[in-house]
Amino acid sequence: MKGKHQIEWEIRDGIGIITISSPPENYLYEPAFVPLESLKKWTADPSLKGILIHGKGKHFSAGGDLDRLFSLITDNHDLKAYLAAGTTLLEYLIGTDLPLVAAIQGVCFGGGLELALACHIRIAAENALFASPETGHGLIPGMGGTVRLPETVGQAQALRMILTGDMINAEEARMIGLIDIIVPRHEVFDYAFNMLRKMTDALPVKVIRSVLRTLRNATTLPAEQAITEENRIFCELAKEEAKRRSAESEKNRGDA
Amino acid sequence: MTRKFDTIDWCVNDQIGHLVLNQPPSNKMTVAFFSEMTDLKGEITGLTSLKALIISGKGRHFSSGADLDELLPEIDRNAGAESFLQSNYTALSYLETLPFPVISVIRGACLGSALELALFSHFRFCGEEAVFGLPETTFNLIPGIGGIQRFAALSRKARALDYILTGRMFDAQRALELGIVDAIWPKIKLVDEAIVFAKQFPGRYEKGMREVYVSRYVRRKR
Repeated sequence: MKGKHQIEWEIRDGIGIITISSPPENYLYEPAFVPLESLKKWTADPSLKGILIHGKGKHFSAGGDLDRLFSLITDNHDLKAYLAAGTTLLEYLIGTDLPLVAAIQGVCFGGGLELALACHIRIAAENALFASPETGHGLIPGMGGTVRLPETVGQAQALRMILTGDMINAEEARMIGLIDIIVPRHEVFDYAFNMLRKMTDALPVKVIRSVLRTLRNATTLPAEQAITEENRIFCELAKEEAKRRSAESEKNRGDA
Repeated sequence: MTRKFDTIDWCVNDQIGHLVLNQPPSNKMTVAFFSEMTDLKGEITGLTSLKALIISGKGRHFSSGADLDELLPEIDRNAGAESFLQSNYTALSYLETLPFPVISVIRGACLGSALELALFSHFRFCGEEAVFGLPETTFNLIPGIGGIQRFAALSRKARALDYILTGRMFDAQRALELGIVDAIWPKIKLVDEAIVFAKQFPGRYEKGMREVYVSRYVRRKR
């Protein structure tokens, strides 16, 4: 089956790398572009410190495969469940509480853009192009794009992108806040990878996840509950750190 | 109406409250500091006629943040550690909800919990030599007093994660670019400038005033 091997996974120096691997356009064959079970198995590695998402070859991803989508509709397929599986996948990735970085070059359209928007950090090559073309096909972004795009760039720019479907380049994308950093084309993967390494190398996985979890709670929980959670997480880390320190001073006393 | 504290210098002058972190040189935020901040909370909340509150540090620094050598053992042996931390949080977080403008003026170091304290103010002004950072993760902790969310809200998730996970420090110019501070002023005039800035307010602070007042003031200075 065509969709089977379109996503590759590897772990390099503690960083999980998801490669969208159906070049040249890297279409996402299905909204659930990788089986949730595979993703769960991959990310279960307890030493994992971050996840990098990129596309094989010249492009990040041109988005969903619309021909397949429309053929499914005529087949009376359960479309709602079909789309929901994609949303579940993105929620799962975010829920790992690992830093997610998208390394983007070439086209980043539709579902590809929605995948990038689920990441915390977007690094783009100078030649990157962004668009949300769904309305041109009588559709809307269906994997959280209508929520995450306005959250990221504000309502005005999000509406413009979604309603017109117009393409914007990397410079414009940075100006409206869609991406964080622009780098030369051949450096985009290394830049993203090194940034993840620099951010996570010295830290225990638990501390990394605690920071990401606290950041996520701020948008998913009511304010009061988010504060209580932050408190609880800090307390747990502080107790561990206190024990580590007293064990260390104990040891130093023993050595002396 | 000046009450005596050991770790804080507090007075009201010309309807402007001055809260000074007073344990130089580093103005570390000790258990005693948080407890005195809690004591002061009732008084400040009651001063509804205040025109502004200005927060600063005595001497060369704003503050180097929480005193971990004291705080960690306290949390470790305290069975009610979570409520102890919760009260440290509320000792500072109410500042954000005060009906008059709250302004932090920052000289020198402003690290960890001290930056979190400053992030509860409505405005932050700093000297050219100010240094900022949230170094908690380098001690296997996280910023625990609302700093993660507020840093991200001001500067974008990407930058917040970068600075929080690496724990590295940044200077005044970078803080301005990140949106963490509103303006950089010469450090010897910082408090005086903050008083002038505070006096232009009609008295109340409303959400959303920040951009308007900062841009108006910066324009007028040119």
